[in-house]
Amino acid sequence: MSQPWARAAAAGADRERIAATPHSFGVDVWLRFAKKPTALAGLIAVLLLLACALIGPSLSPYSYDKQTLSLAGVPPVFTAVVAPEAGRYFYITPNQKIIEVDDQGRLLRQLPMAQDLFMEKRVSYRCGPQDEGLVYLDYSAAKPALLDEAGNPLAATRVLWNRTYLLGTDHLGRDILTRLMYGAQISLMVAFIAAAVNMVIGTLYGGIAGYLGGRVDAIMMRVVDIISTIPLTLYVILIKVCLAGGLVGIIVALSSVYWVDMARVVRGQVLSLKQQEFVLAARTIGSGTRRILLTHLIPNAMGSILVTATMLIPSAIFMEAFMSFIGIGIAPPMASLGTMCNDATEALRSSPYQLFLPALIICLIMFAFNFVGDGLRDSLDPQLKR
Amino acid sequence: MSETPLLQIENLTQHFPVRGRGHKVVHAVDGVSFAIGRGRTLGLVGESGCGKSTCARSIIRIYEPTSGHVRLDGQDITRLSQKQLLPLRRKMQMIFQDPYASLNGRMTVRALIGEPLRAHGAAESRRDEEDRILRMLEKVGLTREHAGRYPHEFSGGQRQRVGIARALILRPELVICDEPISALDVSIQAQIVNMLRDFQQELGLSYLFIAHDLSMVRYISDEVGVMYMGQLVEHSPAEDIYAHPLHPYTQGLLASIPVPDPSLARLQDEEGLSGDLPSPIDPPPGCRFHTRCPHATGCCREEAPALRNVGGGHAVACHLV
Amino acid sequence: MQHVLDIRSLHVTFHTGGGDIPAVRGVNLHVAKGECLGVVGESGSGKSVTFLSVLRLLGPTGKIETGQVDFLGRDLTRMKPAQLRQVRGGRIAMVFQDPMSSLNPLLPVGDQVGEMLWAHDKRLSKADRDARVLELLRMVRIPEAEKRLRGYPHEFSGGMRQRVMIAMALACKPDLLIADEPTTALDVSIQHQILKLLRALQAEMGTGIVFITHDLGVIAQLCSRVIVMYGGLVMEEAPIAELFASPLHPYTQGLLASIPSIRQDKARRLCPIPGSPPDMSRPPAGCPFAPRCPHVRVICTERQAPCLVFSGGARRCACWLHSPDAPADDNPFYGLAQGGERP
Repeated sequence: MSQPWARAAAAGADRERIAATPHSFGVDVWLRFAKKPTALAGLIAVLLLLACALIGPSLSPYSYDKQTLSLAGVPPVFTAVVAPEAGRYFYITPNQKIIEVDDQGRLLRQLPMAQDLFMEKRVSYRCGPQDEGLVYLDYSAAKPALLDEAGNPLAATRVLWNRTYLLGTDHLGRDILTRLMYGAQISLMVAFIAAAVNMVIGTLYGGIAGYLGGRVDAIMMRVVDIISTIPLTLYVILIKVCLAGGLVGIIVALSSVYWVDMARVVRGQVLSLKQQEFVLAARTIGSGTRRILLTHLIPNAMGSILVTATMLIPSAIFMEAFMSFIGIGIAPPMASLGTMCNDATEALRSSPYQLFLPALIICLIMFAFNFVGDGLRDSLDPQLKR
Repeated sequence: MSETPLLQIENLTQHFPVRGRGHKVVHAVDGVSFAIGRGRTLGLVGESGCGKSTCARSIIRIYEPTSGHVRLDGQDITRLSQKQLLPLRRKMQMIFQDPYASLNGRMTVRALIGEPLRAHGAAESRRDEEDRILRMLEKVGLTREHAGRYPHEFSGGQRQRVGIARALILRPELVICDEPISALDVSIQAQIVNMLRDFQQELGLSYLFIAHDLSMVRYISDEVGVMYMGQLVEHSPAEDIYAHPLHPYTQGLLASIPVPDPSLARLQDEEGLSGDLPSPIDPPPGCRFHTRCPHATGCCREEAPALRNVGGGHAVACHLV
Repeated sequence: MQHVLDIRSLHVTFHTGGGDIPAVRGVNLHVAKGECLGVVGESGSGKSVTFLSVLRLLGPTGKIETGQVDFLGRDLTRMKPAQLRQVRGGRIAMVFQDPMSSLNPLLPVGDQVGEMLWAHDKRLSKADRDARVLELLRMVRIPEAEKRLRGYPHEFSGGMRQRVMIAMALACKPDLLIADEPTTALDVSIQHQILKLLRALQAEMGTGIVFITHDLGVIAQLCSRVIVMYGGLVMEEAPIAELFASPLHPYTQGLLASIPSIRQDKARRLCPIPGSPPDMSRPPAGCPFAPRCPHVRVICTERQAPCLVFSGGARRCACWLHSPDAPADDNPFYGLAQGGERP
């Protein structure tokens, strides 16, 4: 403040300077997106799920289709009977086999059967390390009990975590964790491919219908109407039945149906955008139809396109799971979340965890994508911009 | 001088069908004729819904005119296909009203100003394109630093200058300005008007300048046309129309302008216009202004007045003049 | 004269996703009983925000940081929401720019005016209310008011809707009417009608009016006193005639020079104010007008100018060049206005 009254230079360039650091629309959207906790949580969940689905199966010591029938049907947490010798535990599986477990919860082996004493409603198993000694499985009561050689019940029990198969095994002795990760991979792949294909078809179809308008629009949208009057599920099932062929079939089926919603959304957007002055300006400049569609209309409709696509992923996952569940989706031994649910229904009474786990993952995926879609919608909404 | 005017409009008519109302149409523009000479400016004024913007959009073929002729440089462009029109678009560009809606928010200023060059393949090389964009930016008072920014970072006046740069980069001969200043702040309006005047002197441009602000129009126009309900009701050299408005509508419009001078006649002394615009679907028979005209006679209700020359290049469509 | 409204050092900030925007940065002003105060400023000057915050209608992101808004001796910033609702529409009414979106399209216009009456006086009988609605619509010069009563908003033109809005605003005989750019969306001929109406109504009812606009012409026609705002601050305040005759602040001078007059010489160039209004998310440290000011000094870019009082309190101006400390040489403002003193 040496010369407060000296004339300050009023530079012309300074008057026009924009103080804000330049950032594009994308950065703007991200900043708004990151401010929404649910959206961010959804995004993190999606990324974690993707990481598990893509990398998980290759890190797992088991493969999704390796069956270990002797260790079938063990849940992630179980109640084991304390054996007469210290540090040994026996677990009675739902189909009344006995599995020896160590004190860490590692599954060691299935005890070999010695004799089936069906008159006394008990089965004897060899239990010693060298097959010496016997235990009896008494199935006379509703709840099977273990008896020692003398016929006294082994009453002491302990709850153990399954250390060999963290999320247990299914009815064929396959590792559920590995199958979940693999199944999620298949489900997500199906969903992403279907969403991408739908996005391309729907955007082009809707964009052309909306931009050209008039009679072309009327005919194109009637086609969309016809497709959407056929019940979606029925249609997908029909396509699936005709095409057969597992994974590819299901992708084709999903891709050929879901684009109608996308086409409607894009058409609506384009119809309103093409009346805007910047599109009129492009026309008076002399830009061609292709240019107007690709550089003006679609980038500005991209917000709704992305939101619709994000919302489409969970519904595609759900549809895939549903089809696999009713048995016309992914063929065994391939795992998808739907086939896993299907497999689990057989043992629902005795092993509910087999259904619960894939169902939980489906829920998680749907929630996560819906949150992301919601967050995208809010952060792309031009209404909130000012 | 018998030189052909740059733009000549004859009996331009633009009707829009009304949805779900049979064969009814909105009479947006009804038989408008005028001409703009090289390096001249015609100001077109009127209230909203009078058809002045529609008129501009029909000339530049955003709308397909229902009937009439538009001649650019003597060539009738009314029935040309969009493809045949493409080379002519270089001669004729447009500046839009809303500086927020007329720039695509997903494009940088560089891409926006460069769009006409690319659409017409006008630049010889990448370098040439960049050079021309930067030179144009400088001319509208912006700098190289602005080229990589997005429109939403700019103020209204700066955006409008980007719009002007985009319209002028192809060196057109005719620029149609559709209310280029009405969305801007007062102190910025004068900037834009001055800029447009400077460009006119430098490049010899012709303007069709559309506005509802009569005082700004006077500054930029050589001639002024007043529109009411799709028709040109008065057309004269700019000074004349302000000094001696002949049509009762023009008189009312001028009386309605709030004068920024408290010592001058205050509101209650001025007559102004009463009533509202009739529906453009069923325009009143005869003179379309008779429903609001203080001097209307029986003749006005029955017979539509034609635009007549009353001397000195002053034309008016009124039975009473 | 008694003040209806007294705003003291009001600060309003919008907390948005893109950062904080200090839209109003210390505004002092008052509205006297029955006067018509004009508030001019460009978009972003904080003129609308100031008066929206009077009724605490700022929306979820806007917050009154500090300051007092005294309405007939009661501080509105501290009032409970229930009490505030009685003031809103009852004692202070507002008319907004867009008459299209201010009316519910599904209800007849008469019912909407009636609802306004009912909301503030539940004892009024249906018949009394209907009579009063008719009276109000006649008062705002709506032709064939009896028929129009049953009409829906879409059957009304823009000017007619704005009349209905004014009728609603005046329904409870408020002490203060805040009109926020009520004629900006309308055509000149309709604007003229509305302005005439407002003038007549004010003369009739003696309501204090705050007329917010960017159009100096409208201010000149309607108001008795003017406040000029820029960058969230009051730049100048003056009685109407004096403001136009001898503007003190360089911004006001620039504003007046940039509007063309119908009677002015056309050959002369317009004198616009160069540059663009300040980005309010990063307001300048000193005078907000400094970057565009032709007379800018070093001190202007560093410190906000104090609001000096002139003409015995009738005028105010926030400009360093009018300060008693400002040197005489190279100062076009020296001695222009007498008696500049800090309030």
